[in-house]
Amino acid sequence: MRTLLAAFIVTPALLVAGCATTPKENSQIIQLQQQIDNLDSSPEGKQYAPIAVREAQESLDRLKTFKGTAEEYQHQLFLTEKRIEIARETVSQKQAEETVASAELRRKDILLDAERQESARARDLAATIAGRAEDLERQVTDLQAEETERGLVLTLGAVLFETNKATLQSGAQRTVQKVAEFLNQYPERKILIEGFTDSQGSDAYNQKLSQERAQAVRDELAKNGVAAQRVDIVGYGEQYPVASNDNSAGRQQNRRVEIVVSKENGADVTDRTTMHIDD
Amino acid sequence: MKNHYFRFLLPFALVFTAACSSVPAPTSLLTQAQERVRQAESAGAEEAAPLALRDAQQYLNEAQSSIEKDRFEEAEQLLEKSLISSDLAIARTSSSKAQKAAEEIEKDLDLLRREATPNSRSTSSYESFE
Repeated sequence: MRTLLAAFIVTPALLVAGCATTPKENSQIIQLQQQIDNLDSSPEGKQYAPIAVREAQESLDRLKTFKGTAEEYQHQLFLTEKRIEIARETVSQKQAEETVASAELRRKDILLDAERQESARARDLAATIAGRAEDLERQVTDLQAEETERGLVLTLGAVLFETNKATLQSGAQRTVQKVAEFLNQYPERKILIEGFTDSQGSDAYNQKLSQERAQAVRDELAKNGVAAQRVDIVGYGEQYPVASNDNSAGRQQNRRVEIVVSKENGADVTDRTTMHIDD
Repeated sequence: MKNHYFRFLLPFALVFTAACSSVPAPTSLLTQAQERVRQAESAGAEEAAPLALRDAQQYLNEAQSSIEKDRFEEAEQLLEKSLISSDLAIARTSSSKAQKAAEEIEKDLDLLRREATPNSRSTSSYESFE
């Protein structure tokens, strides 16, 4: 029974095999398959031309199981080769198109990088400017006075002091002298000297340092004829920054002494903290 | 002139021969192949893919003469070859256009990259602080 069944299956199979051209799993097919495999695999595994590649693959698959005349086979082989070439062109077209499409993004990246470099430059520039500002402040002739609600405010940069010290730099004495001359024009006005630091160091240390600096300015003013009894001092430490503490230029601005001259004769300068409560 | 004559005769030739041949005349395939060659030409294949375009034109001519000789099976294969060659010419043309655009973009980006590098700037901007 089994042999009969086998005969029924095998005989037609042999007959069919005899009529048909054997599947062309030759080196040519293998080579074409390799070409297709190499077509569309970018490192990211992205397919650039899935349709064209699929058409080439289907064409090759038909060729693998081709049953027909040798002439017809050659024709299908020709078409398959062309389809692979088309797929290759389409892949490079899509890749190029992606380059074009991503150009705007890349342009923005370059500009962003440039900006980053620029801000590094800006930091250098800020440091240079800070150095120049230091020189300028030492040579200052006109005091920058600002009218505020609390009175006239003279801001003296921290360049008056060495880092972490409360003693006035030699160049700063001339500045303080100018301030004294100014204050002596208004002998009835009360004066408040406020010291500030940057955010580096502990609060307690900064508070003490700012207080000492305010004190040093008062002492220097006293030497220049400004009576100490009309001068109050306060140290605010790192409170009330006027610039960012994230960069050295900003920190330099925050290390300062402000001299507030009262608006009214004899009246005390309004305290900063009270001002804030009033606000 | 010859072409005009051919076009006039072709439908008649096709109708008469179709009856006697086992394979029908590939009329729609012929139209397709002619159209595809024109498409490749207008896409600029003459410049970007001259070899593929020439193949397409040559296969088309051969197919037309095969049709004249009632060799429809042969003509069909030639038209298929012409079509695929036109497709390749078009693909190659599009690809070369895209690549030229990509090259231009790369050049632009390179230029921008160089322009954006701050090394070349002078320090004269500091002078205003004096």
